[in-house]
Amino acid sequence: MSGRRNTSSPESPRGFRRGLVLFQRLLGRGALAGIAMVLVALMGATAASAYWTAAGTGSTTAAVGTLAPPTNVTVPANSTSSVPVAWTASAGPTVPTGYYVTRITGATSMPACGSSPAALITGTSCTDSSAPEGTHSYVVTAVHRSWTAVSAASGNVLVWSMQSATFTVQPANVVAGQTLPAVKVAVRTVDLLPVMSARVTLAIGNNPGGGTLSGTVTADTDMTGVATFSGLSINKAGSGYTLTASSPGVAGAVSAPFTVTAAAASRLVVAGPASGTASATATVGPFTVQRQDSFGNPVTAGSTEVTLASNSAGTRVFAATAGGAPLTKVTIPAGAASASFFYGDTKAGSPVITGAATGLGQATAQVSVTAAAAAKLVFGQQPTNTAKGQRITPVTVLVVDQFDNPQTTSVASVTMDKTVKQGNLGGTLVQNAVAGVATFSDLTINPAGVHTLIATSPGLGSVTSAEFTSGG
Amino acid sequence: MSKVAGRKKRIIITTAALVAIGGGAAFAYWTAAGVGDTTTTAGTSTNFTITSTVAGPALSPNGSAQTFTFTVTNPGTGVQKLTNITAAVAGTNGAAWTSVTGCSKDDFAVGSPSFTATEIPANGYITGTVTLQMIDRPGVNQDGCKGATVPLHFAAS
Repeated sequence: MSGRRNTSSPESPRGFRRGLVLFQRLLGRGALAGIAMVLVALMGATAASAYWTAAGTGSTTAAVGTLAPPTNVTVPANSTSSVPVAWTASAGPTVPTGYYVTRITGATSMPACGSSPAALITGTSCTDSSAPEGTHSYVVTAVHRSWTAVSAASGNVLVWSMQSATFTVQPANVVAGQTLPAVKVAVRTVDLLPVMSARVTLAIGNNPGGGTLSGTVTADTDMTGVATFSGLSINKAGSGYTLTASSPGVAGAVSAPFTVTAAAASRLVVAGPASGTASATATVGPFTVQRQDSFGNPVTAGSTEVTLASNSAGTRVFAATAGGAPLTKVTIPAGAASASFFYGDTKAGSPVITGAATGLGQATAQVSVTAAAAAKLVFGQQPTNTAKGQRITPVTVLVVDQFDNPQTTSVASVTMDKTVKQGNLGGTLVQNAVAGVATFSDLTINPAGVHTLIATSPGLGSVTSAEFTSGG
Repeated sequence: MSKVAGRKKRIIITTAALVAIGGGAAFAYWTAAGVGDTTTTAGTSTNFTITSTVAGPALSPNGSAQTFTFTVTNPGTGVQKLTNITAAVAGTNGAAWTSVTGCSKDDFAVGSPSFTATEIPANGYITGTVTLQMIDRPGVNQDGCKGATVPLHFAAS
């Protein structure tokens, strides 16, 4: 048994034991090979896995945007053959590629503004320049690729091709400020059909009196195509007035001429030169006293005696002609609106001339009367008593006109002297007038006694002062 | 006697290990015959569920496409193989979409779903995407599609 591996129990039969030994050897070698094979299989081979097949469904949704229509499509109520159309652009994120405009007349729709689905307008306004006469409305369609969105229709527009307006009732002669009889203007199409709701405006055409047309000067034509103007008046008299009527697209119509006459006289108005020189006769003028109505129109109806007056403190005089016979009244005869007169006043100043007549408002006019030509000298400040040989309070000599109005523009040379020759008169004895006044400021006189001064100027004569004394 | 017992043990252990590890491996065996009957319940497949989300602006003719991200889930207890997914504008049951007058599937283009065909384990899922775009059809009035809600139907297999 030694040297051989014991592979069985001793009690086993010999043959069986030999078999076991052989089996053991084979098993030892085979086990190693088997293990190797299993490991190779486990490590190198992909395991085959099972699965099921299945199906399933699911749903979801997607949102499609939209294209908003344009809004606020507007047209005028009336128009000639050109109709302006405007609208508000589509709102929202989808911006239109453009718009096209459709004119709707009854049940008929026509492309307008030269637009179409193939010729879009990118702005928000257009002019339908070929609209036929009739009543139309418009819709605007927004376009974004294959999408379109149509606006609501605009209001109606009345389209007509007007021929002209005509005065069917002409303005009549009227008194200034009074209401004209109703004037009527008809607006017709080229087919002489009346045009309704056309706005007509009146104005003065020929305006001989420079008047103003008052009242409601605009009116719309009625169902018969006639616009009526009531309550119009013109404030200025004149002959040959005309009115004009105008309306959009209409050639202006001109009325027949008519006359506006003055209303009743209500006041007097004096007009004339603003200034003159002092005079004992009526040399300033001519002045005109006019009879007027309340609108300033001269009134020729009736005769009016006008009393003239002045508030001057001098001697004032009125005359019908320059230097003519004095008078206090003038007469505005019938057929004339005014009378003229001249005015004279010896007192320089700004007297107010008035003209008054019964039942009429008084007229006033102020006139500036200036001094006449320098004519003489007068003492202004007389010499006063003073001590012998002392300076006399300044003495002034005025240059005046013949009415003693200061001649304030004179620069005459004035010489001072004394009337009693004995003794001396000291100081500056020759002074030039300033604004018509010569001032002697440094005069002294000797001897003591009673004196008078005498001032002389070439062409103006001389003047002697009051007496004064020089004390001892 | 102990050496013999030790070798037996190794043999037994080795054999047991081979059986345990390599159950599928070929092994020497004896053949035998015998009969016996029993029953068991076979498993079955479960329908995939498909959900989706969408991103992108509202559709308009030739406008931007919307992208749908879909999720295919295997709600079953076994592995299920996803082979194909289709998407179409159709009703919930896949029927033709006719509920909006003047708008149909012909107004839209559905892209090819993008996903990976694979076996999805139990309770697993995969995701993919597909696009939907509105077609601009010149000369065709597509106003009926304005403001429409368009159904997109998925089918997985």
